[in-house]
Amino acid sequence: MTKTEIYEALTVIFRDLFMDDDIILKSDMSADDVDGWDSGANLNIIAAVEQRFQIKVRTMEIAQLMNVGDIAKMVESKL
Amino acid sequence: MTQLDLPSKTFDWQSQKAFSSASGDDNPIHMDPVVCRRTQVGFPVVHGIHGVLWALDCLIAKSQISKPIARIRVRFNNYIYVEDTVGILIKKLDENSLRFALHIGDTLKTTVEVTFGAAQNLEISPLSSAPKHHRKTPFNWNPSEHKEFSGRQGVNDAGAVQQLFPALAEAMGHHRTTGLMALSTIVGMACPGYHSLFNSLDVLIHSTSDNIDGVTYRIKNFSQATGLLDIGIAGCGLSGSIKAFYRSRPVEQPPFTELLTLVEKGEFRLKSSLIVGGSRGLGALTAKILAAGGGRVIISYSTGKTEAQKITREINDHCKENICSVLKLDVQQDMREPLSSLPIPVDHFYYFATPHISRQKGSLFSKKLFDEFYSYYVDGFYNICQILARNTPDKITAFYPSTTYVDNRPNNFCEYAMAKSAGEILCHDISQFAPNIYTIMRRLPPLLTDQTLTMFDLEASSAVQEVYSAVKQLHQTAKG
Repeated sequence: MTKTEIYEALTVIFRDLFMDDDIILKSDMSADDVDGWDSGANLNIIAAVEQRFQIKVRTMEIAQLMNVGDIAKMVESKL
Repeated sequence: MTQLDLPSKTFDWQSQKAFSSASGDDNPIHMDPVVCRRTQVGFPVVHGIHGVLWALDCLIAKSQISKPIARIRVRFNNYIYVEDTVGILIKKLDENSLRFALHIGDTLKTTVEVTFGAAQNLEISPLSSAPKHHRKTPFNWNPSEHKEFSGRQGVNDAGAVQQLFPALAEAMGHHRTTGLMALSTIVGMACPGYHSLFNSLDVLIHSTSDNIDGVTYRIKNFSQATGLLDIGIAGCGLSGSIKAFYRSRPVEQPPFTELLTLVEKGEFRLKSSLIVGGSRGLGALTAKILAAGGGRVIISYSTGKTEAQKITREINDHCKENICSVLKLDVQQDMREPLSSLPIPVDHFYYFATPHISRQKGSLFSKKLFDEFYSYYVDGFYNICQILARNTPDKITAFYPSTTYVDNRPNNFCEYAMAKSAGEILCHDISQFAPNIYTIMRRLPPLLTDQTLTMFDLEASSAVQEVYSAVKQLHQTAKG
């Protein structure tokens, strides 16, 4: 899966979770940039990422994910 | 209609009990303040579905929603507490959908998206053949034992739906409104039940009569890393999925017998200590460590009487003598009477009284929250010091637990750190200028207690060594 494909899949996840079809993901986008991206939403993102990409994320890894770019890199490393 | 015309609602105890009674969702995080203080919510929270159904009912009654509803999506962003007043904010409205938020000031509580259109004309297949369950107490779902889990849930009093949400029941049908209410009962009482937090839902409305008694459910996925359960639902004219967290359980400090192997025998013999806030967390751990070293302890509680008595029994039963006793003490009340009738005279006291620390707030600084922390960490501590110094002929040594957050804190802990910082200054001046009392202050790192519970515990470390070291320091200082 290419980086572009990962970002496309992440965009679907973000738009679905935040109920906002206007979200355009950038690598430096973080919780400050998306309305409703709080700690609970963060866990929703991770759970959705696990399901979509069929990967397992360890609890300790979650704290290292500060922005969209970090999530994309983690996905890439696990595929 | 403008935003200003939209109603607000105070979710008081009366409405909380009415929803709980109708739905049958009696989970303690909604109904029991004593249990709540040992969870990450801290205080009783409003049923998330209650807020959503109230808002939908209002919007239909005010004709903001006038088309048939085909799909409802909800995300519970933040807790709504009992007695909170919640408003509705329309975020987006077009011919196809309505997106709105429940909010308190600037704080987003719940996001809801309603899609308009014809209901699904597909037959709903039940996800379980189990009979309908009416649980009086919440089921204790466990990821290792119940991976494949399904069932069928109704509500406690379907007749109350019409009274609670009349416009919604008329527009969507009594059956479907009852089904939406049952989603709360599924999460709170069955799956995952006791240790649950409702996270989100995505349901389609069906036009067909499904003849399914109640709402059936089946776990689709459980994420070990996040604790998030994905649960399929079908029945009462609804199909789709709900998500709920399997929330952290309260932190149990090590048993007394384990501490006996760590603490030197007789290390705290001939010492008598009052542990304020000793019914749980670091206070309970301190009491056990002192007793394990042969000290006599009085543990005070404000609301956790049962927990305080349990610790007392654990210590006294093992020691075969009454070296531990309990005292009811509220640091926000007049403490002269309870402190003047202590069962034993004390030469040490430890101050662990605290309200719930991690709070939701709408602004960087909340004066109300600061005042609450201040009343515990400054007023309460000072009042006890004064009373004990007056009542005790000998010098008393006091332990004041501060926090590393004074120097370096995560977002949202401003008021907490400010009040602890004020407590540190008070500690210093008591030691310096009060003749009969000596204080020791220690900045503790985040330790594993109910207060540091999150969805996953990443940074809090075990409290035993840190507390044991603090207790030893206090006793060595007192000797010196």
